[in-house]
Amino acid sequence: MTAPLLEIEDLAVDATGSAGTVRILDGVSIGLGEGETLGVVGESGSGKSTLAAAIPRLLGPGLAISAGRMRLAGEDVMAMTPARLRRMRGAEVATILQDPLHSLTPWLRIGTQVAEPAVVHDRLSWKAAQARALDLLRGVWIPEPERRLRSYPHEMSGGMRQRVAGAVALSCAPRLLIADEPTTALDPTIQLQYLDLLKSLQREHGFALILITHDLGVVARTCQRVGVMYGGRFVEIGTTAEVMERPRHPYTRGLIASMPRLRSAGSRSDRLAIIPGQPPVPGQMPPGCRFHPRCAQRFEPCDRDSPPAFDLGSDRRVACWLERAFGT
Amino acid sequence: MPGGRFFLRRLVYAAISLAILALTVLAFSKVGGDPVTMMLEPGASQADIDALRQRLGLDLPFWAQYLKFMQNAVTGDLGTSIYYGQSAVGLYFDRLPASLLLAGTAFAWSVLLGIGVGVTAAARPGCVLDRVGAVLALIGMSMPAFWFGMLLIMFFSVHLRWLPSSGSGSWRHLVMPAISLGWYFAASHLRLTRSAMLESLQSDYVRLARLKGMPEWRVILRHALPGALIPVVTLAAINFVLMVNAAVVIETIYAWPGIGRLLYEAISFRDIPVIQAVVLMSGSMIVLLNLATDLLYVAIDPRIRHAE
Repeated sequence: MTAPLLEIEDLAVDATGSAGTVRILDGVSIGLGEGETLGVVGESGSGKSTLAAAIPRLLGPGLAISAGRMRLAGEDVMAMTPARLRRMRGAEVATILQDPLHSLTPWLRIGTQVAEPAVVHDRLSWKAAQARALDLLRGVWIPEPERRLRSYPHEMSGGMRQRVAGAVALSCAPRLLIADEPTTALDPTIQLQYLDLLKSLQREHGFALILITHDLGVVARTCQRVGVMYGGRFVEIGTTAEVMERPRHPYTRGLIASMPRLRSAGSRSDRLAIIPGQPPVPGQMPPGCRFHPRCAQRFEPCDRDSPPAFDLGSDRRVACWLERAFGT
Repeated sequence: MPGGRFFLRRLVYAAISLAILALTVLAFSKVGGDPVTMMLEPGASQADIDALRQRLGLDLPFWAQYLKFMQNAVTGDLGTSIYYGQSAVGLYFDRLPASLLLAGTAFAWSVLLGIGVGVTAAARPGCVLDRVGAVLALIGMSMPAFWFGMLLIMFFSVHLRWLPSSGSGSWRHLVMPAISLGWYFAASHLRLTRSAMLESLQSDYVRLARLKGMPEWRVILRHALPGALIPVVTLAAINFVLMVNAAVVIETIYAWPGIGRLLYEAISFRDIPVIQAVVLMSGSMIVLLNLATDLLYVAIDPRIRHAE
């Protein structure tokens, strides 16, 4: 086991608005070693993007971390000063956002946007930073990088802009890269190419990767471990092979069953399974297990008590009462 | 060069706007009554009236008058003042320097203060400067200029005796008119800057700039501000034209010898050629400044050049 780079324990995030306080993330715990890849899967509203924003401590207005511990390479993230946090963002923890069309500043040249983290964090001159930017653009497979340094974002395609976002993220050699649905806005063929790029960059630079997605197929291609989120909590977490082949939580099983896959003609079931019902809305969480209203296997404790994360060993945890009833 | 075609197209639009403006100005001057009856003595004979009509071209059909008006306008002739007996355009340009001085001063402080406070207020909503700015903006937007101008005179001229109450000639004469004139515009610049900045600060690119660990001044000035400046520049350009040409109340209160006062006098004497000249000249100034701001947009946001 590698040294832990990121340790999160019992993290909770609250949204405070005119209607009162609503818990968005609840009891989230993850550990991530140097160079590891964790996939975080969930439907929209499951809290996965809030988690992506909570790690660099840059939550949107009205959101705040209300409980929990977070350590980056042993350092308490919750105790960091604003200046230390700014340095952490960009220099140690970098983020790629979902929408490449809106995440680059329209009036700054690509060269400026890729170079500025090196100027701010590594105190390079603009000239040296531009030279580094050129290498970075080459590294993310951008054709004619010299010309692209002088381009503006609107002069490039979505896939190209997302690669630029990758170059921006890598500019100060971060130890952790958080990619929040990086391929969702891209064309399917470009998606696979981008995932290959991320994997090859990871091999080259050795950063740890948290890949947030709603697509289990993306996780299966990319990640060693996967965590499944539902209603602001992790319901199941383990190695990708274990979780994909022997899912234990009924929600994970439903997700896997609803994945489209190629089947031979005439196969018995060519309809996709669906999970009945709607995902819960923050503020209107059902009591007990948050999945129980949609769960076909619910039984006596499910609508009353929230299941703890049962530890099944070898870094596998499942938050479901079935584990106590029939499990190890 | 894409910029060239952009400019040419804007130039054509500008010419069309001016032609329509001239048509409107001429049509409205017809609604205001027959100028001939004001130019002649009461009780003038019908023959005299007809002769003057013919001399002024008022017997021609409207379209012919419009063409004649346009033809003269292009050569810089907008008629002769009924009251002063001088060229209307000449009168306009005589008064222009005084108006430019007053409007320039008021514009400078209203833009600097409006944008400065607007940006600061948006960066920290609810801070002291934001609250003070909101109150001052509310006062500026809702207090009539003539009343505010009088209050300033009461306080600084009558009570403290620091500044002359009216006239022109030294910087001390400029202070109160420039404050009164700029007040409303500072408020409007402040409010627009603040709301445009708040919107820009919520964008994905500002979020990414913060995720890159950029210092806050860089996030605000380099990433967020250019997007917010586009509507502010548009508003400021039109406001400048209004300050030069339509400071009627302020220039009258402070007896400032500018275009606003010329317009006030022309309206009181029903001096239609002068009114037409002021309206047409300020319309041209708006069109020209719009052209200039279009070019400024391209400098601020490179996407606009390509959207053409």
